[in-house]
Amino acid sequence: MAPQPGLRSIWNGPVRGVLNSYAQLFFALNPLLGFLALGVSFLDPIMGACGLFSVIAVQALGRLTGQSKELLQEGMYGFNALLLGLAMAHRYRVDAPMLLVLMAGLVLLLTLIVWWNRHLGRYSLPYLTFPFVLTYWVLMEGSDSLAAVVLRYPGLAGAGLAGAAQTDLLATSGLELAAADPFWKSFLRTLGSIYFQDSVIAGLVLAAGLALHSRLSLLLAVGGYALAFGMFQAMGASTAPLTDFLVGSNFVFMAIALGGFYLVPSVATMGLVAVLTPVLAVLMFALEGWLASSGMPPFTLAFSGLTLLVLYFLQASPPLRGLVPVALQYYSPEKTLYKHEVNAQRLAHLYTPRFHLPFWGTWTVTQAYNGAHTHLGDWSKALDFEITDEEGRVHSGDGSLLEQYYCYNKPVVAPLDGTVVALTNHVPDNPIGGVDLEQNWGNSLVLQHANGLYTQYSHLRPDGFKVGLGQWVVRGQVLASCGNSGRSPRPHLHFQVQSSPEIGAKTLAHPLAYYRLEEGEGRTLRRWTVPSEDQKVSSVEAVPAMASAFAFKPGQKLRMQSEKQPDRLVDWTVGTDANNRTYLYCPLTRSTMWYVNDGVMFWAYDFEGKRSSLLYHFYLTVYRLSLVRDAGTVQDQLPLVHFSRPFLRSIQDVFAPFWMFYRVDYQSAWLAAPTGAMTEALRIQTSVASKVAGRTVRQLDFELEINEGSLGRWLLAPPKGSDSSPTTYRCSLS
Amino acid sequence: MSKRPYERPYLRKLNAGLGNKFGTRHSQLPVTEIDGVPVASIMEEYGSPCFVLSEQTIRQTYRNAVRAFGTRYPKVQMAWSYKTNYLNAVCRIFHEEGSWAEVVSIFEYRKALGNGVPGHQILFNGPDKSADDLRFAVQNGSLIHIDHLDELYQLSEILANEDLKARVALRINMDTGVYPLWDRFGFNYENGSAWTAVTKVMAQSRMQLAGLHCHIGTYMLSSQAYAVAANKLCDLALEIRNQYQHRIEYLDLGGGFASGNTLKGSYLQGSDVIPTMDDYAEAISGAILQHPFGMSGELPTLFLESGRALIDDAGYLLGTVLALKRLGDGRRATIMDFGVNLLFTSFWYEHRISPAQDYSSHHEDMVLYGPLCMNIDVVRENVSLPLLQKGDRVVVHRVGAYNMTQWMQFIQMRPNVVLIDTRGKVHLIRRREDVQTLNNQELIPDYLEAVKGS
Repeated sequence: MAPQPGLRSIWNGPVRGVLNSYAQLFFALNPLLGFLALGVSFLDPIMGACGLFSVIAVQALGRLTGQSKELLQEGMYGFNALLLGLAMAHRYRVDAPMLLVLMAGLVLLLTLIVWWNRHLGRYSLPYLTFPFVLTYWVLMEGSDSLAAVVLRYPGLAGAGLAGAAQTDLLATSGLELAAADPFWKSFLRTLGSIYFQDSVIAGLVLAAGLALHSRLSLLLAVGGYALAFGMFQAMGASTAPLTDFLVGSNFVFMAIALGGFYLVPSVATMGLVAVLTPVLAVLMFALEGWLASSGMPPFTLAFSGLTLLVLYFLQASPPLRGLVPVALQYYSPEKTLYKHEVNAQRLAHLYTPRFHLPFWGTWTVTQAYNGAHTHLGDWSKALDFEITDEEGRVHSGDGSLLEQYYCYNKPVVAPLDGTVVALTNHVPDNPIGGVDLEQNWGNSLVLQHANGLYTQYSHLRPDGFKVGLGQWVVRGQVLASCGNSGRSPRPHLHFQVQSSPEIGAKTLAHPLAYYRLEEGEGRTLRRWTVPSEDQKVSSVEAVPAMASAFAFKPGQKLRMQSEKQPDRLVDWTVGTDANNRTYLYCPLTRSTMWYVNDGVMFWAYDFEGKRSSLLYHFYLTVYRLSLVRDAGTVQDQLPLVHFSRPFLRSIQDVFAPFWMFYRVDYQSAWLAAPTGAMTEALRIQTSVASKVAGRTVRQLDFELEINEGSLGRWLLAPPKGSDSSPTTYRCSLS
Repeated sequence: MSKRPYERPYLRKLNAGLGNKFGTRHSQLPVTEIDGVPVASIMEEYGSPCFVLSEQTIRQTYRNAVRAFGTRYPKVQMAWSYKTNYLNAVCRIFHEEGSWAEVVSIFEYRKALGNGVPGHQILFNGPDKSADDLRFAVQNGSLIHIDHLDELYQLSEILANEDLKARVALRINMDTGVYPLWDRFGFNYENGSAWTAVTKVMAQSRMQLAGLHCHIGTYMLSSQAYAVAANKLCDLALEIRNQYQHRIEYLDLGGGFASGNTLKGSYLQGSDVIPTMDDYAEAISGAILQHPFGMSGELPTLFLESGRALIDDAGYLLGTVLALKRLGDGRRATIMDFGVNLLFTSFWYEHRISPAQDYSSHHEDMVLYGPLCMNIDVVRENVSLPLLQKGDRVVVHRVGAYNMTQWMQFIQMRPNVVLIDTRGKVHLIRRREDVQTLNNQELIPDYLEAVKGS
């Protein structure tokens, strides 16, 4: 049954926003966990209702004032409101005056959140639970002097946070026996206390919800709390106050936040949590002492403050091993980890400038980085190129004339788009053996590229310049020709990357995006590295048929039509989103595959949507394809979340930061090497295999045909051991 | 110390004073081995005469050409000119190096297919393509280089009848400043028939104009002629882009690059006057890069069909002196066991010939005759060689191009052809012909069966 558009919009709008507000307290976007938490909060119906009212009110306020719909839907405004509502209902009797005060508080809360987002959000510093704590203090101070606002438990006014013991009706029930161990009892009660419930059963429900959402989060929560519990016991402090409302939760929150939410989960992040647990405890005691006189409860102030400080500290420090900030938030430590594991290397250079070689054909590196002759000191990260013949000679004849040198007068081309920002073209070429130490760079040219990078070309021929100062050039455009001017005893091309536009600036180590390495008869594609001395290298160009087949343009439709049942067809649209990311979108299954075609490789780098969709299988097929010759068999790894069995994966989740026994290997290769003809028919075989300790658990094989420069047949092989025949689709782009 | 060779006595007119300030000494050395393999051993095993091809030279020459063009232009594709030498072993070496195939007949076309060249890597040139040939080539996805309008019409008819589509190129001829003009192939650029052909092809929905082709001549001694040709092809390609918004994928500049041989009538040695591969490459790529094709991805691919310049140097002909005689006018004549039957190129080259054994410094002017009982069989009309005698071995240089395709079976049989591989091993790549080879093809009518010599 197709979902009703009306129902869907309600679900997607208010309902999801409310449920997510509940889940957000566990750093999760999970309606089910949110629903369980909502249920838990209603164990005390009045408090639960007040919490729900606050969430709905702040969502409505947000929508009314035009706040980001996405953030509202993610519950980013709601979770602070939820805490405020629960805390207020816990302290005060819920009646009209109290709700009026609460409404005022919610307005203040929203303004605080917006202020924070604007000022600290740009430094990627989250507001955590600050708005709640601050607003609560304001409301507490403000309403205590109002006669109409009445305390719920007048006798406990001074204690503030210590009064919940009587409310726990279930604490003595049979269920308690199941959690008789003092630690587990304490832990579960702490979980419950997040939603202002002092109950083991509440904790049990929340723990189950958390386990459903993320095994790793639960592991972090238990681990973080165990550390605190153990430390309290070791230091002779009572562990009883931990279960008070929003006291022990500080440790749970910090363990999840720093152990796996804001940082990619790893052994190092767990170590960080361990190091910070005593710090947090000390901070909590200090805050409680300072605030005791005013009666203001610190709640989660210690967690928020310390987490913020640590995030700031990590931002200000050089990159630390194992402590990697999460760039794209998936709201699941496992997902973050699996995607990071694969993408950290795979996609690290997706958006950095991609330099190719600055010439055509095969040249030899005659002086590499830190070369013995002139690549010294500040100028050590440069490359010298010459052309050599079969015998390794750089010239024909006796080598006494410039013209006999193979590289002399050969075109020097732009390795990347850029602007000509510096140029010298008046230095005459030296005769062979001569050096010009006065003007040692000779004729030179500097290009400015994106991201503040510059490239310099030196010892050029004085009359070979094809571009002028200020001119915009594109990759592959001829700039000048190789010469022998400056400190150059024989013709060669000097190439360097630098971070400022002057000729002769300090060099910058920067790898080349792609080049072909020629060793004897063997040719291999090298990616993101720097060639070393005496290596023969050449530029790579996409095979025309491949380049044309994968040149998807936004607005185009890629149609997949079943060969056996031609009425079974699906259209995917090619699009570009606000972040300039290109994607294929299947409207039928609401699935998206993001891809990048960098001219040398086609990368499908993310998928969100239905696993049953055809687009998902296409994602698996084209995960990484070479568009150039000599790449050999392309091997890669898929994020585990994209191709795994649920049960095996949930086991892996628990061990993920320490030990990966479950992985997904991908490979693709041409059946026959391409020749370069536009019309040639190419067949690409790809396979995706998930493996447990090296043994294949599940494998899918695909074959994609390229015909006449466009996608042709696409074959999905049946799983191994099955008798069914392969499914075939015909692709067409329009 | 080995016994020094006997040298026959000779007579020479004594000149008073200096006849030539450089004297008459020749410093050329005997050529006793090719790629390290003794000439004598090859001839002992494979007989005389015998063609020898050096794989090492083929690959070096090819890579030199690729380097010359590939470092000056980003998209270069060689297509091996089958007619220059279509011995399968030779073709396969070029294909292994990355060359496509350029053929001018269905016979060569089938040879290319047999050598494993996929149909889409074959350029089908030449004025003689029958309806069957065209159909076969189109079905194989080959590039059809159209030579004349009749071919265009015929192709159009075939495509319509068979519901096929073809990728074609037009052969263009033009004035490049080198005479005589080669205007018999393709469509003339200057008189507008080239543009007429373009419009006719563009009007055909079943034809895709993929390339423009020219072949301005043979043994071109001026590299600038290629710059002129490239400029004209580029202008045409850009005009097509402007008029039809159609991108020409490739420009085929053909071949015609000279090898190191000396042309008859040339004052200087061939290797002193011919342009180098770098000269040709500089002229062609320089010309194309000056045209506004846009970003590098839109540059047309440069196809080259050089044959002679890639294979000539790799070929040697080994032969033996049959006899010596003195002609009526007193000139010395030497009769070799190879003549114009095997060295077709001796009609236009002054082939360099080296003895294959030691000799003294004395030289003698002579006429070199071949073995045929025909007056035209002259290998060199006047050559100064050491004192040869019957049974001496000689090596003829730079015979790799055209001789092994244009040779004739006339009076004598075609000899063995061997290839020396890159490790110095000798392989027989074409067996010598014998009487059986010819008789196999012949049929005798019944009424002549019984005839026996009386």
